[in-house]
Amino acid sequence: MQLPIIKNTLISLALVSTIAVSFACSSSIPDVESKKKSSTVATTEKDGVVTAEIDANATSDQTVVASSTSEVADASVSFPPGSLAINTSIALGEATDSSSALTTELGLGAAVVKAAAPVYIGTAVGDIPVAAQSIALSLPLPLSAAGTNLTTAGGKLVFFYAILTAEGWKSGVKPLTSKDLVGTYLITKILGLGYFQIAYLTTSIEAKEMTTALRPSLKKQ
Amino acid sequence: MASRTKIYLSGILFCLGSVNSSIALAQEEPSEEMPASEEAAPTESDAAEPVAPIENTTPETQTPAVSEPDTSPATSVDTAHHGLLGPLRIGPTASIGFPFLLNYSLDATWDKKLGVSFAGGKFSRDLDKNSEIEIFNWDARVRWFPFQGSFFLGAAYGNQGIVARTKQDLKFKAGETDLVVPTTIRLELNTNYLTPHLGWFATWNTGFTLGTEFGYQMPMSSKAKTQTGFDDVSAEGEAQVKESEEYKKAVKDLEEGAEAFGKNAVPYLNLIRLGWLF
Repeated sequence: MQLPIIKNTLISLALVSTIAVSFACSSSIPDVESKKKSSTVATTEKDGVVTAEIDANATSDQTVVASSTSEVADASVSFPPGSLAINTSIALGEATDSSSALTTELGLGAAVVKAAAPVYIGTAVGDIPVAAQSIALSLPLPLSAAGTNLTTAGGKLVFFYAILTAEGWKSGVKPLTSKDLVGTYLITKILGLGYFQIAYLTTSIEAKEMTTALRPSLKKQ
Repeated sequence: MASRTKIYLSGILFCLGSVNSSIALAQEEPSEEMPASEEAAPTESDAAEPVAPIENTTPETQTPAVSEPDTSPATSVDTAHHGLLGPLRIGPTASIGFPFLLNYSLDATWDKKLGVSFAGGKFSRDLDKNSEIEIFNWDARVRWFPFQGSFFLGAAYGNQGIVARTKQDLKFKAGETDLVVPTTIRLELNTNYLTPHLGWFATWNTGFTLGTEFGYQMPMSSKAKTQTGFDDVSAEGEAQVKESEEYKKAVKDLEEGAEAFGKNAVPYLNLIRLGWLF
């Protein structure tokens, strides 16, 4: 008569203790890890250049992230719906450095102290399309640790660009403030594809934009 | 031995719950409880051992017990505290104390001489809107009841984990431009511990169990693991931020808080243990 009671009691207790052990052996505070960017469209990668087909009729943002093995790792571009008029194969990779040419062309009177690797966003072959709407850029800042100062330069943070607009090729420079930065990225919108670079200059400058003869290209690997 | 037990236990509150202890026990136990206890006992048990323990009997039921002439006192004392499994009583208890606020246990005692237990628990708390801490543990313990009452000497061996997580906006400068880096740091410190302790663990005939204990929790070995998560930080930026003084200070603050608990010996106190041993 007692045996079923004992048996059921022991089974219940074993069950309770098993649950208790599993409950007490691990934390309910989840692990933490950094959020990594990832492309939202299919991409192919060759020699550090990521290529993706951007659908002109997409109804959501199409994001392409640079190769993690390239000099422009973590750079990304998002194409909002309607930003390109036709389907385009977009290449994202390191551009041939034109920072010196840009500072001269823009007549900045300031030298580049430190610059991030320039980013090329355009077509791998053929003409770069004109953007119908602004694209969203996310470019990592060039950093180096020194105490609480992430650069040794102490310079003025600026953003260089050379893009194809409806009015033709234009180059420009824009000083950056804290409002332009999210984490260690520059987050900005720009109406055109082409050449993009973050740099530190020796002196403060005003924002400038002008017509340019510069034609950005992917850096030869 | 029995008289020594009586003398010792009569001075301790928890001895009042001991089945085989002094007369004080019988006086303290509610008179309704004992008949209920006897009713709960199977009738065949009564047949085998026909006489209820004298000291557990209320004044109303004492007469028939005393009238049984050939009852061995030793036999009645030995079996009165038995449970469903005879001398082995087993059941769950819960305790409140320090450093483990709430622990659940599976406890077993053998004939009021030895006891074993397996316990575990978890407690978490938000320190502020950006920080939280959690303590969890499990341990196995043994108890020896030298006087076969409720007083015991025991030792526990187990593992505790302390997990702390904080989210901070670390501030840097990129050149002359201010930079805010949202950073989440999680530290987990696992420590094996040994806790010699003593206390009282009293089980009534019904199975109701009440106890308290105190001792010293000594860390034996520990292992720490730090994780960091950044929002909107590039791979290069992550490496640089981890080299910064700001980041190192944030990690150090968290480690010191966790290590104060996890790597140092601390007093062990179980204010109250309640449960039921079948």
